[in-house]
Amino acid sequence: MGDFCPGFELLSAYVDGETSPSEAGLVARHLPTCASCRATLAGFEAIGARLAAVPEISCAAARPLLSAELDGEIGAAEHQIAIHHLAGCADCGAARVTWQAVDSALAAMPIAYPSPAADAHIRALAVHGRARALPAPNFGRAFASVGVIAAMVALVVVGALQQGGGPAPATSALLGGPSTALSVQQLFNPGNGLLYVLEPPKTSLFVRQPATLQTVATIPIGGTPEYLALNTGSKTIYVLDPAAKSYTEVDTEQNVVRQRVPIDVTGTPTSIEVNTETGKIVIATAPTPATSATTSKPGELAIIDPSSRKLEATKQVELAPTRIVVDRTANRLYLLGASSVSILDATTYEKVDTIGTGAVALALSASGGAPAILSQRDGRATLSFYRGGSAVSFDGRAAGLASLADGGFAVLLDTADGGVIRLVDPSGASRGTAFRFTGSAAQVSYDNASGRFIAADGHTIAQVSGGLLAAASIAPSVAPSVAPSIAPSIAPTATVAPVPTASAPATATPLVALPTPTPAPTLFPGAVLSAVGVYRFEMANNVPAPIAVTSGAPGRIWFAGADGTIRSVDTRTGSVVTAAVLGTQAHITQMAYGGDRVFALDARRGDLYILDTRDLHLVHTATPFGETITSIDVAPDGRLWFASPTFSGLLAYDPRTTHFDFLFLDQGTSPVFLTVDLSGRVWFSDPRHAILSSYEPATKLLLTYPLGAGAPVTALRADRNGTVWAGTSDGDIFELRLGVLVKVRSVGYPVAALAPAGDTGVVALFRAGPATLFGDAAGQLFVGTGDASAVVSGNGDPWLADGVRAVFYIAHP
Amino acid sequence: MTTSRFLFSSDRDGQVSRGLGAYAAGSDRLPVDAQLVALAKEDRDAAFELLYNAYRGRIYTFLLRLSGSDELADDLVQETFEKAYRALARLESDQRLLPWLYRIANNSAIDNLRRRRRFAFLSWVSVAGTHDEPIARDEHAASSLRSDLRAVLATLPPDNVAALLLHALEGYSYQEIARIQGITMPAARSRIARARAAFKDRYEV
Repeated sequence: MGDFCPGFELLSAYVDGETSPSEAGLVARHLPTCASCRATLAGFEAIGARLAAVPEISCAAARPLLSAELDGEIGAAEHQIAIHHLAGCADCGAARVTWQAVDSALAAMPIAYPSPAADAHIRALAVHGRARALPAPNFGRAFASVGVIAAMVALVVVGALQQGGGPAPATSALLGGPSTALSVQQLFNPGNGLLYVLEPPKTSLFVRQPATLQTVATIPIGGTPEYLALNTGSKTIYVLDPAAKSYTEVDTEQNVVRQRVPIDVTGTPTSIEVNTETGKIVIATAPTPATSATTSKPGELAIIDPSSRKLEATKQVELAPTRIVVDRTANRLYLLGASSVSILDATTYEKVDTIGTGAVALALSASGGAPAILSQRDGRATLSFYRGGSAVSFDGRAAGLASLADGGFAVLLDTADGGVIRLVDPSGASRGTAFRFTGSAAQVSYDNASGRFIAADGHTIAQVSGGLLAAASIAPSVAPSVAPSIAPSIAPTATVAPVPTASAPATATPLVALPTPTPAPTLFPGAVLSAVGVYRFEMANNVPAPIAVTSGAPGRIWFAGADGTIRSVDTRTGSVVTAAVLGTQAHITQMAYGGDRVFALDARRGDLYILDTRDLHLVHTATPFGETITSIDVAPDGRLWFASPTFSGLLAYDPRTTHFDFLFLDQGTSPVFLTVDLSGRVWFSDPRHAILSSYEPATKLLLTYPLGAGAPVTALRADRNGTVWAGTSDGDIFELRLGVLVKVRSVGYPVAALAPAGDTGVVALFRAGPATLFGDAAGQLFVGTGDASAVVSGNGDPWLADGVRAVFYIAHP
Repeated sequence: MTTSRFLFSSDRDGQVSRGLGAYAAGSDRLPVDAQLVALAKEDRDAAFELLYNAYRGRIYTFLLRLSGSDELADDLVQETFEKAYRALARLESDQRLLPWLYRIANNSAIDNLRRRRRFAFLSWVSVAGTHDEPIARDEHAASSLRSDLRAVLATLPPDNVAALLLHALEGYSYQEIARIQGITMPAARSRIARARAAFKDRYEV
């Protein structure tokens, strides 16, 4: 063997380590015997070393290479040079990080759209307003025309805002004056949507967002201010300081003190109100001991001109009013005294009538009924009605009275066992619902706008929902990133805490206290009763948080998490099973169920997964314009409908034919929320134009229902009975009856989602600042996790998906 | 269309079976572009409406970032879609529509911006921060990071900015960017690198 040299090729391969073991052995044995081959080999190795040396380059030369390397657009040799430079150059390393940040920042900048003028100009190039079909995805198939929309019919929804109350009574209730409270004075200013709260120690006026109770401004008042009054016209709040005999004007546009005005009266101011009839400020005074001997009348009204701030007139009255209530509708002023109530004409201040019993509080009816008067008689609180109704009395001391949006009233009482809230009908009949809490009812105020009872420390302790009380424990928002530097100087106190204290956690965890909490039976193993009526069902460790959820066949809920897996829960046993693994790239944002199929949409990637629940056969397809899809629902015929506001259109996908139909809507229509009812009619809402529309595939008829001046629809769902439900950002729930939207509930929180409930009706999810509420359309309301991602019905019970933890909250009262 | 089949297995006892294997998402997109091109030959107006609704946001955003002015972007987006409308019925069936639109938008913008700069001696950076600064209809540009970014982009040659935007906004490859801009691939690479070089000193991370 030593006589035969291996040759150039084999030696070259030997240097590169690319020989087989037998070839390597042959060369290794030959080399010691052959000087020529050793020299050849040495030459190869020198070339290799020269080739392997990476050239040093300047930063200026390296930057274009690094830029291409960042994008993965570089050859192997250049890559080596770039990385070699990067390893020894901190400046270029920093530049590369900067470029990455620039790329990310550019990509994160939001999509913008042409101005309406440019948009109109471009659209004018083509003819508008026709329904079109895209050819089937199986390319080459004949076009499947959806057809031309036959007609655009506008139905005026007359009943929508008139039935069920509508927003008007709520507004008038707001304008009726400060919310009911004794030691806590609170005003909702409909002009700027903010709450103004005077709470102990009353040296400042706190301005809060009603939804979150977050303090947005603190206005120092000084002195000992006691009472608030609002003039919406002049955007002014008056803060009365009885001890200093002055009032402070607060500019509600800037939330600053405008002026402090002394009041030239002899008695002690006891109350302030703006006479909305005349615009004048009315201050009630009671005689001081020094003046009482010389005064024939026990009380006086001081009428002040708001512009000149001059005392315009004084009017002696037959009592020392503790409070003034203005009834603008009836042009009346009610002066509340210890032993009688005096009723005056709001324009002339002449007495019209006297009620022979004293009053602690008086509230006007939101539905135009008789005003309710709360008084204290013989150790009991009595609620009576001016010129109507029968009186009803309660144990305890009368602390406050509030007018509910539905015409009823809430009575706040103090008893030996703590505070109590009771609801009564406009007729005075008790609704049999009461909420007890530790602490004093005098510390609680009622916010008409949201229907919430708020304790002095900012906690929401109860909520009026569907005419009944749902107890809540919603803490004031403490989001650190937006916490104002001018936070309230008082620490939250525990004077008002929900009962029963033994089982109620101190923090805002799910909690419900309905009239008589009774021990509920176990729902199923694994579902732990976490508060009265609410079970917490924590799934196994390997299950991710449910992000997208849909209810399936009775007793089954389907959900997807961040791990790209579709799972199913048996709502009777809590058993969780894996149904399909889509892969971690799948980020399911929406799910829908119908025709024995679960549809899971990854809107970001435009991927649609269709799982046949009978044999778990999984199909995947791409969706045209997927990233623009905002809502999906399944029609009775098994087709999946999509709403795409950016595309001004609806898509329908038939899983049997894998055929997409496209319905192009009129210019500017933005279908955001979509649902399909039992008859196959597709309903969709356009929040920009406050319209609800329906499309009937069979007749190709498109109907449009203007929603009037109501709040935008934020959720839309047909129940399994065929009824269509709509929720609004104002917290109202509408039901479509015989073509008319009728308001059935007003919760006061934005409706975030609706889902069909068991046989009929819907379950709803409400965003309530830092927490969420969920409940059924009948008005049962529960407090859930603030991270909730979706609500869904399981056996008729509302199930709330946590969204962050592998937990469902189940309302099962 | 890709199909796959999986088995039920219990998660509660921790014995998770992943079925028959992880699902691999297919990359088979629907031939939406081809459908639109086909539709355009039958009904240009209908195809144009679909095209405009689908892509107006992306094209306008590109033009807004490139020009730094919502007024100019409005003009350019009209010019782009007018040209697109005229050419729509003549497209080849394998034409990819978004890159085609970007090409029209890019050409319209570069011509316009070059022309403007030839006659406008006031550089864009000098008006930044003054009341003459164009106020973009872009409420999200409020953060200082984004306004810094816009200020730097406004000082750069528009060709380079366009190349960087096509890469950052759409993730286009250098080859695609070269095709859109009508240049060679090394030239596209150079434009992106030059655009990025400006951020070294002016843009703090």
